Amino acid sequence: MKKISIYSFLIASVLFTGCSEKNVDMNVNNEPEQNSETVLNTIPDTNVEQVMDGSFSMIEKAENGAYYMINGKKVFIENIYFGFDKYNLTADMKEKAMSNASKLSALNSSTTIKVTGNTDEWGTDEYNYALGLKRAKSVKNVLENNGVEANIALVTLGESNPVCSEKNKNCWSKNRRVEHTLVK
Amino acid sequence: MKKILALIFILTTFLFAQIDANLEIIKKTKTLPSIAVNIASDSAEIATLSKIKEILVKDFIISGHFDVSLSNNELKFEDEPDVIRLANESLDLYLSLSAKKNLDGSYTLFTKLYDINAKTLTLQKSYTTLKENRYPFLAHRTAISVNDHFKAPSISWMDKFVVFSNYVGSKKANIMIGDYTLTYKKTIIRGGLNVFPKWADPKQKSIYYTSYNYEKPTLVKLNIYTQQKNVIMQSDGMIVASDVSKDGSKVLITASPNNQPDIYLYNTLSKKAKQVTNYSGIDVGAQFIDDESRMVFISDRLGYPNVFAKSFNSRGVERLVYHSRNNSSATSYKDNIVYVSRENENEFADRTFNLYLMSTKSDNLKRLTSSGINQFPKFSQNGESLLFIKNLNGQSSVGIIRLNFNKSYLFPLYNGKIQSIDW
Repeated sequence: MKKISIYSFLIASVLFTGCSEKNVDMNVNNEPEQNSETVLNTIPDTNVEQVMDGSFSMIEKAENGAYYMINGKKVFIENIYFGFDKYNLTADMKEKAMSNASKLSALNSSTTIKVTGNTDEWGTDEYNYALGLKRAKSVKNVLENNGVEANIALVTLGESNPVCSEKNKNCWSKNRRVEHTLVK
Repeated sequence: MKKILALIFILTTFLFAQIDANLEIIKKTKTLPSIAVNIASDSAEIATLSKIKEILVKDFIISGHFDVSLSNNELKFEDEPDVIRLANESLDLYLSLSAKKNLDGSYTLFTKLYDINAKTLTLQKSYTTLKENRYPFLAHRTAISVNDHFKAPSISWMDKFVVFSNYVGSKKANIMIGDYTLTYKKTIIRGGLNVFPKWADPKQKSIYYTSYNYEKPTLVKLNIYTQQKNVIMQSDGMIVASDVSKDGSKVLITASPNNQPDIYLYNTLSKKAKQVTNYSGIDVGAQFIDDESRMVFISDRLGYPNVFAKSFNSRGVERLVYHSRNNSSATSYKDNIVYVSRENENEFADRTFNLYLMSTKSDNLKRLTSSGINQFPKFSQNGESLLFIKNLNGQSSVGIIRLNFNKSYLFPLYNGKIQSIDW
């Protein structure tokens, strides 16, 4: 996409300068050949702006992740989920993390991705908070190893940030998660 | 008569506190002095005085050093009790209460303790608080001074504040202080997420706590009287003050500056932190032991959380607990360790966290709780009592276990959920 727009711009500029030179030729020869530069400056330079500058904005949060606009493209960054008392990634979750990585690799190094670890409600001690942190770390490792150049900051919220409060296995597994937030 | 008293005692205990199902009630013998607590018939300030009496009676019961009699007597504060009649009721002690609201708004409790057998007034004291809502402490102080008068084992922990973090919403926790029964409560840090509070000094003037209201997790020290705040340390990931040395000069901190949770020994005078663990998994929850030369801590270096000990001056790590495969926090006093064990699903609940008491010098192991999520155990200064939190069926409570009496008492918190506690 990037190459096509650059090439088309180059071709367009050549064509435009070509036309202007033709016009100049029809006038008196003594006129200075300024037209090509002037024409260049009047081309609306939308294509020039469309480089991959890593710009992003949050669209909305969903139950299992968040929609972001990254470089003008809408992407879904999924939450990563964990088993009870575990901080390793299952094969399924590792795949999701790698898919996130490919979308997040469009961000540049001045952006920070805040990766937040969470746990279910079973336990409020330090170990529980540390479990959240190790979950965030597992995700960070996958992101870094798969092309993400942005800064990755980790934080654990332990059990303080539940998305649901029902006392059942379904809710507890929804809370054992890592979330991603993009920060300028 | 004795049977009735014992029955009344048991009923009273149920009335005032919940007891964990699996703990035995020790058979009462006549070695405990029988005490009646009465409000003087001519006293003013009856409303607050009645509440003081209720707390005082609870304190005596929880101490385990007194038999509380429900004997009710009409007696003016300045009059002498009818010692003959009271002796016939097998009463040993008679405590008369009176109170007064002073012109400056302060509240004074007057107490007179009569020794029925000796037929004398044996103790007369008054206690004043500048703020009437702190009346629970008037009751606690009275109980302590009566207890100390008879040279019974110390219950001075009753007069101390507990400091706790209270979850009030998603990513919202306030820090509160209160008396151990949570009758008196006051919020001292409000707004955002504030967790893991710990007393910074034995006089309870300052606390450490973790704040998520800064750019990264931050350990803050707050003087609760002057409101002065100091940032002690910050860390990506997490930071928690786990334990404070007796004189307040050293703090064991869990931090993760490289996204790796480890334990640091922080010197408050030099303001330097020394990393004490470097295992690549989880090392958290350190507590000082052995005159602060060693620490007990939680590590998952065996693949699951368990309790270990380590000297600050050597590399070796000693495993302390061989029971259960999931022990996520611990506290210790001399040779005793209380740890929290996550247990599997059983017919009572999906998962429970129970407290276990063990000795490093023997094979003795005793389960202290039977249901719910029981966490944050902390011994009292003399090791005879244990503070903990229980969450059961959506109800959060402060728990006190009187270890020598095999008795457990719960004090519910009605708004919120207790995250952690210290005394």
